[in-house]
Amino acid sequence: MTEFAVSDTIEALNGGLFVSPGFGIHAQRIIDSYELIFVTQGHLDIFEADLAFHLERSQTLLLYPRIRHGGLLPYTADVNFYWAHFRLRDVASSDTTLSVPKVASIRDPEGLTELFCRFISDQESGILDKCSASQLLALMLCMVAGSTEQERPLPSQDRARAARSALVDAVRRYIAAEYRKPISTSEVAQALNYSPDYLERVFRTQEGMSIVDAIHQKRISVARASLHHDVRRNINEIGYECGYSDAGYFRRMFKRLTGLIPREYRSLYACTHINTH
Amino acid sequence: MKGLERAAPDNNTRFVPDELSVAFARPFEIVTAAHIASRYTAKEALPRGRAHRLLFVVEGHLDLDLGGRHIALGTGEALLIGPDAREPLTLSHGTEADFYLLQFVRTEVPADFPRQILKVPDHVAIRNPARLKHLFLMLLEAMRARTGARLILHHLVVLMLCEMASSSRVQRETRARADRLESMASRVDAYIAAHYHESIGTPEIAREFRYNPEYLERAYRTERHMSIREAIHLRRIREARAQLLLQQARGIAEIAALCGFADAGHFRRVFKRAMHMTPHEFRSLNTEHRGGPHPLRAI
Repeated sequence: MTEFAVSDTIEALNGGLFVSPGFGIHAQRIIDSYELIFVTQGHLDIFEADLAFHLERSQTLLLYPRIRHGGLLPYTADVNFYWAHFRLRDVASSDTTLSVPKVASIRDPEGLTELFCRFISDQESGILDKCSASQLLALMLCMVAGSTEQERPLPSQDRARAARSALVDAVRRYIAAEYRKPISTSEVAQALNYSPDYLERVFRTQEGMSIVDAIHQKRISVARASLHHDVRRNINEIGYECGYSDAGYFRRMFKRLTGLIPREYRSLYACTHINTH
Repeated sequence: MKGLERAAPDNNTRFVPDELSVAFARPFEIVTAAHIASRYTAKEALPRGRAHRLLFVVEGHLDLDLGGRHIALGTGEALLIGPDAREPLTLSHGTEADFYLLQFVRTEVPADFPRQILKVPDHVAIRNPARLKHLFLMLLEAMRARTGARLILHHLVVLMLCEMASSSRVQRETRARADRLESMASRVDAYIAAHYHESIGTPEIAREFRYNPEYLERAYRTERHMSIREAIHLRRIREARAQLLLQQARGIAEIAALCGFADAGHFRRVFKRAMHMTPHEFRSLNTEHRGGPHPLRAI
């Protein structure tokens, strides 16, 4: 047995997944804990004190304790959001602080969903200990904070570099639009009218991965989202819709990127604990 | 800030900061994290130093030599090796081994900091290996990412240690539950052995031990893979077989009553189901031809 002292500034209370019943409005209330809200589908309109927030999919909102908040508009039929309540313990001084923005657009929504799922399913099965709960919440806040981290600003005189970065964005946009089709570096290069070798080199220097890696990353992140939300969908079908016509190939790529096969991933992260009020 | 605008002023407006500052103390510094998947057998020396080492086997097994102490680490098991191990550590594995290695250094949490003590067992079978596997993947991913808070890394390490700690807790609880079930089933068996010739059933036994009959029934079935009723019948039939041969003078109905069967017809049915012959056949088979050729073998 080894003992570790772990910092314990966050006291996680509880969490859940809210699924819209198609009617009703978020209650107006004053609570004595913080609340983190993460919208995964639809949109949500909430006020806090005299501030109004319109949250879109993949956005988070941090509500403060002892300040009145509530719904501004009735729930739309398609809104889903995760929520978690927590408290912060007083700390005299610290070398490491995290600045969590009130509103953030999450860069890796699947990653944040995974953390919420872990939290909620452990909570429901009664195995969520205080330490894990606090670490999971800390990780959620890290993700929220990390999402708004500024990209390093490009010096305006370095035009060649700005052009390269625009090119990388174009590749990303093309992948986001076409990942369902059987595309590879050559299709991307053809569509953008560049030599495949040049495009590959530019992309790799900037992003640290190949274009094919980026295509797989996009496909697998879509597959992760489907596995979270469509609990009853056939796994091969999900693979097919993400651009993998071969189920075995889908499984291998999924395993390479997440460490788990799709079935394991689903049983680990499919959230079935839901509240509708 | 996008998505943030002023609404109608509120009477009890309070200042709402647009950023929340959360303080942490870093309990660990990560030295290395690696995923090792090997098709070949190998033997290598683990680096020494002041780092804690966490090994987690996904596939295959590892053999470790910690300065003379030998540890076998199987699939789904994790091992924590402290920094004070001075002796050289060697690690060998068979083909198709797939494991993770994490090295981290413990740092001091400031004295005035809210803290929690986490007790981590050194060697443990992970309750749900997929969970720990995915934490390692997240860690490797976070280390690769060029941006992003390094803070994520040690929260992940603490979560891994929590996973190890909770695995052993769950195992202890499961073991305790198994022990409870086993002792309950043994008590039922002992009661049946003493009372099989009386008119007993699950309700009587449950009343004797002050358990809910349905709970007792379920617990017994989990442990012995048969119902209490079946266990009683089995015991009675065992006794009946002996009595049928020992007490040739007594009739079948009398033997049935001796063994706890109130009804001879019921006795015959239960006996036939268990032995595939009637009590009468059983008796004649085992007495009249004693010493002679076995009738079934003659066919």
